[in-house]
Amino acid sequence: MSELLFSILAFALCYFAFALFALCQATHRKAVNPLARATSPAGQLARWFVAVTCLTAALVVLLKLQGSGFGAVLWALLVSASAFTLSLTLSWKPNWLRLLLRG
Amino acid sequence: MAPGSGFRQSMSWLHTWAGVLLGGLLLAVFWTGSLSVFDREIDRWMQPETRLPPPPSAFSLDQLVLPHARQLAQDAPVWSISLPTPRAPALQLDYQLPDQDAVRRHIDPRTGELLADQGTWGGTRFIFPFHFSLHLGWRSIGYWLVGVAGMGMLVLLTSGVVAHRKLIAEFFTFRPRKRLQRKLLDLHNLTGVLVLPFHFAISLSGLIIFYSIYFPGITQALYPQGRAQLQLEALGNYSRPASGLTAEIASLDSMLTSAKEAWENSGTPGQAYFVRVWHPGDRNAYVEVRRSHANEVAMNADRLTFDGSTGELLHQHSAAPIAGVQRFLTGLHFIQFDHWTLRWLYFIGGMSGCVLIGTGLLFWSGSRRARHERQGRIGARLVDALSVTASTGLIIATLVFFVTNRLLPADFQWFGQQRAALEGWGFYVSWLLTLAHAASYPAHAWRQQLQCAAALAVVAVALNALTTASLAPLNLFSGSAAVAGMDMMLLLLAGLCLLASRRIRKAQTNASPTSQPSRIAPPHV
Repeated sequence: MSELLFSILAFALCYFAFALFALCQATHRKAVNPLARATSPAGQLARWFVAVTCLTAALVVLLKLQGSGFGAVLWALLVSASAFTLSLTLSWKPNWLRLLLRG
Repeated sequence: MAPGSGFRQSMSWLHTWAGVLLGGLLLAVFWTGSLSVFDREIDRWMQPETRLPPPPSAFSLDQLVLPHARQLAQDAPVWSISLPTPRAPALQLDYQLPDQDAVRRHIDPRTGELLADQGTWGGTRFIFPFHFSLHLGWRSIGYWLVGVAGMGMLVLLTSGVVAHRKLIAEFFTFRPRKRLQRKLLDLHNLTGVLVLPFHFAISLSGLIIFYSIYFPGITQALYPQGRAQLQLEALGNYSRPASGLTAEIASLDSMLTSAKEAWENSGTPGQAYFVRVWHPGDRNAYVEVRRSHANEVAMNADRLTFDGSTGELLHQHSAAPIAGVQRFLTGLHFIQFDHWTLRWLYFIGGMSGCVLIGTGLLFWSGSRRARHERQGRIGARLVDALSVTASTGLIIATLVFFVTNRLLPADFQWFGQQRAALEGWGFYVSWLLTLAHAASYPAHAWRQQLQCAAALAVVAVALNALTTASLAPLNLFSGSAAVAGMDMMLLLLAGLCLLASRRIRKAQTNASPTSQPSRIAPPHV
């Protein structure tokens, strides 16, 4: 059960990271909110920093709790799964990400 | 079409034609590979008597297995036991008598009762071997074809990334409300880019597993004295000839206890999962005991060999560093470890591979269909037929395999063929029929085959309920999660097929008879 819970946590961290990456792109910002302004270079850098931190945190959590073998494989697969889920969110329910446009 | 002048154009050309030539084969390999992730669960569904409760933590091989092995496999040169696990709760006895086919029997680990012959190859002996050998044994041609497909997949992934013009700009882009061709290309790019690490690792590791078939020169050069030396050094495959003198076999339980102690002492604690007895009943018999890899990614090569008549330890093996890398990649591909989250992610990753290949084929034929019809060429129609056969046709063939299993009694014979063989025939004949159907009715092939697959999936669930008195949702609560999961996946498949069929019919109804060819230029021309 804890295996599943930590996998969900890692998935959430990766999803959040990719959402921040996506919202650095004008096309996706417009999809989330047509009135969204372009992000400033500082804001973009901050988003990148938080996103990379989240991806790293997911990897560290999985390596710590699942061991190097399972942790690394699980992280690689969760990265793909979360990025794919994010692209489906952007396609069908982009307004779910509106909260992340602030700041 | 000739390759373009620039690097990207050349890669596009390579991507296009490698995909068209290998797409059908790759779909078959990815589909059966995805199903093989749950091969033991498929076995439980197809072999109702093996749907046992979780095995007890302690049991005696001497009492439960040896009497059956002596009776059934007395003349076999070798027999083996796979110990029970939560996924495969029965003891599994495998042997092959001289001039006969390989036999697998199951033993209840709680009572020692020999279960009736299940009369099927199930997932582990039909779907899984199809994934890597296509059941084409002559001169290992099946292995070679799958190897070419695996190499082709690596080429396709690499060339696809190079050919993708807007890799970063369209990294997360999927436009489901656009035209069909746009949607197909988006989905192709999305699965190709976002699931790239999995597809690459799984294709590469698949090639590395069978390195000795694809690169025989390496082993021949390094081991001129023969493969036996390689097997001993890399995998610890000890061997010695039979003496011709009879002797009783020593206690297998004692050997398992000694093995556990030996592994603990060497710093790799673990349980045995597999026992193989060579030259049973001979003075020179020896017993190979392998350590479980349920708790690690690598399929370790830790094995101990005991003297069959005295129980004395003859040989202890653990993989050397380079062999260890190969064993890690093998484990990464074979997924024999106990990790349900990873198991499901592998399944989803495999299915995304099917989507990647299928959308690529559909995009290719969709962007050329009108032009080829105008010019009287058969290229697009041929690829269309192959796409239908390799996707919905393969799903139908798999479902016919399941339905045949539940429809025919386990001891049924027809023209001298056992039920297990008839299930295989059902698979291949129905697959061939879907090809004939796709070639004969190109306009309706997708829709009709999807409807057929939906009907077959529901029939499979109904037949399972009728023949084993088990209903999908109830199985979940009665402890038979594997059977419940299989039934539910079949019902989900039926629903998805019906949904896709309805959307195709809607699209065909709305399509204008004078519809223009796609406005999206194929990127890989």
